[in-house]
Amino acid sequence: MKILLVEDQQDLLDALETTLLAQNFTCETAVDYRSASEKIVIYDYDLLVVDINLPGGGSGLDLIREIKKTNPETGIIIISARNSTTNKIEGLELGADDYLTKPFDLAELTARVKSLLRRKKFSGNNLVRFGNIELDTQNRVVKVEGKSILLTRSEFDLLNFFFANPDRVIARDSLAEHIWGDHMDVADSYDFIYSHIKNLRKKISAAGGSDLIKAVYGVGYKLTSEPS
Amino acid sequence: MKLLHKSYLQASVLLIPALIIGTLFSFLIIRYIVYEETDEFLTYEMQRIERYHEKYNDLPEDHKAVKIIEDTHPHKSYFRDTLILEPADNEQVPHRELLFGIEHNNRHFTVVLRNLLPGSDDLIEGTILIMTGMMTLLIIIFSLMVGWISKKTWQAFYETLDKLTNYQLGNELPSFPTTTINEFNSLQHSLTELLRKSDNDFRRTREFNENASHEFQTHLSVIRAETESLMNYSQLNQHDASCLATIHRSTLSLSRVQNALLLLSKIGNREYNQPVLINLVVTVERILELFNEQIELRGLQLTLDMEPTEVRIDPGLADILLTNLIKNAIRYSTSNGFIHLELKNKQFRITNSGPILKTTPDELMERFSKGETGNTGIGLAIVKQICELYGFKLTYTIENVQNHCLSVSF
Repeated sequence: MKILLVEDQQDLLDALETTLLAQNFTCETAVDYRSASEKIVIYDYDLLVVDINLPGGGSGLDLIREIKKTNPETGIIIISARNSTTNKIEGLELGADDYLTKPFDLAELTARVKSLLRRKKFSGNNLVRFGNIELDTQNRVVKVEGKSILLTRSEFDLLNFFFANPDRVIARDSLAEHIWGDHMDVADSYDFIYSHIKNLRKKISAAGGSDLIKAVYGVGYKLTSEPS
Repeated sequence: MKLLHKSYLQASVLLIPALIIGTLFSFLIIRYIVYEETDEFLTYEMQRIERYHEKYNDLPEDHKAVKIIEDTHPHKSYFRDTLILEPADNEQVPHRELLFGIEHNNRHFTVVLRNLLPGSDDLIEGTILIMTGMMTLLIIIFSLMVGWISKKTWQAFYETLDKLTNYQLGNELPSFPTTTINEFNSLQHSLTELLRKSDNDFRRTREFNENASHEFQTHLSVIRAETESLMNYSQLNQHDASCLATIHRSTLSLSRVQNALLLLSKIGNREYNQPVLINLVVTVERILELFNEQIELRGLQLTLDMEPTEVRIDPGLADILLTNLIKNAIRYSTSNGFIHLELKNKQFRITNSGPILKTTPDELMERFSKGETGNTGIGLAIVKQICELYGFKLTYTIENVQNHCLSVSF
């Protein structure tokens, strides 16, 4: 899987690259419009992660227009500091698949990247497996040892998020933001996340699934295959 | 009231004294003329009788004398007014009399000539009729003329007004119609200057907001990303981990506060300006769906009492307004408490069970006023600003000591 990251903030670009490399993606980076534009012409990418505001003569929206001409199959995720609806609509109308507003969590980006690539590449095959748990992202079904278990919408979203970020510590805030977005009040989120995770673990272990979600003291949780 | 109608009304009021004075004046003139004519007629008759008498020493056959008084003292002729009872309609009728002396066979007689005068009431009635007729005719002609002229002269003014009303900040400046009237020209000039200035301010504020927000969120992204990377560093001790969690959490709060401030500034800058008529019930139902889970998790009893309510408002702002009010109610209600939501009679009312307040409701409404949990009250500041923008009435009351009630009257 080859990803082109276009972001003018070098520090952020490095962080994005490190994270995606750790998930075994092949990454290339560009810090301005011109170099990104050149790369689009020369190479084929499976995914373009692009900032809208770019130096070098063009915007991220221009890059989307170009890649739609040369390689329309490429998945596109916009990352922008502008939380404006018109920008969002314009980007999505040009053919972008997703829109992330800065600041976002790397875990969130990873999840979106994986979900998008799955939709683009393995049409039909939406199964993710970890331990003896199988997750069907398309039909939103979770099976433990082949038997499906019943999860609430939030519990499923949490598990899906963990599956997209295996072996990574995910802060409780990131989990809360993933399932509730801006609608969750920060003060409440810890309790709710705690009770959701508790229920999720209970349901999985009751069905005989391995206990994969580990609490990381003071920070959040982690999906891990290592025995604790 | 329209400018033209106002002019008409004022002109009509001014016409009333003119009508009164005119009527009085006409009355006096007509009366004067009537006297003149009657006196003249009587004088001619007197002269005719005198001439005839001189010639034939007798009165003419067809003399008009009503009375001849015998053996009076010689005197000069004189006029007098008298009232005579008219038996037909039993009414005192004014008459003019001319009395003159005549010598006949060395005896002195006084001859009385008499002629009917029109009554004063008849005169007044007549003059009023004439004046009213004239005035009505004048007013009609005048109104038609003024209406036509005003329409032509004020056309530029009305067009300017129309363009100004339809102008929205951020759009292209309106070009006003050209006119030969100096006053309108200078009005248009001043308006254009004013609009250009506010347009500049608007653009500068918007640009500043966007730039500030962009920088802010970009750097927050970096902090967040690096914090996340550090969290995955395996040799963290518990203290480090919780420090990182705090940093991570703060970036999230900061980013939200910044978004809220940006929103506040955008509302103040009137960047949301596409009001349409929307049914708020639909909006409320959509928002409640988003908060369903939280209401459930907090064990809140939600009761609804809604009727279709249409309000003219920007849909984005309607969403923000109601979301903030609902979110606020959920956040501050006590666990296992209740939320009652009412939308009827042009009013949105949300009541929740909450803690006993230490501050006054007004203080809570101020921006950044801190509640007990340390949450920023910026949500309410946004609500307040939207209400101010549309002239909605926002009230915060406490009922039964701990039922907090926020209502917005549209």
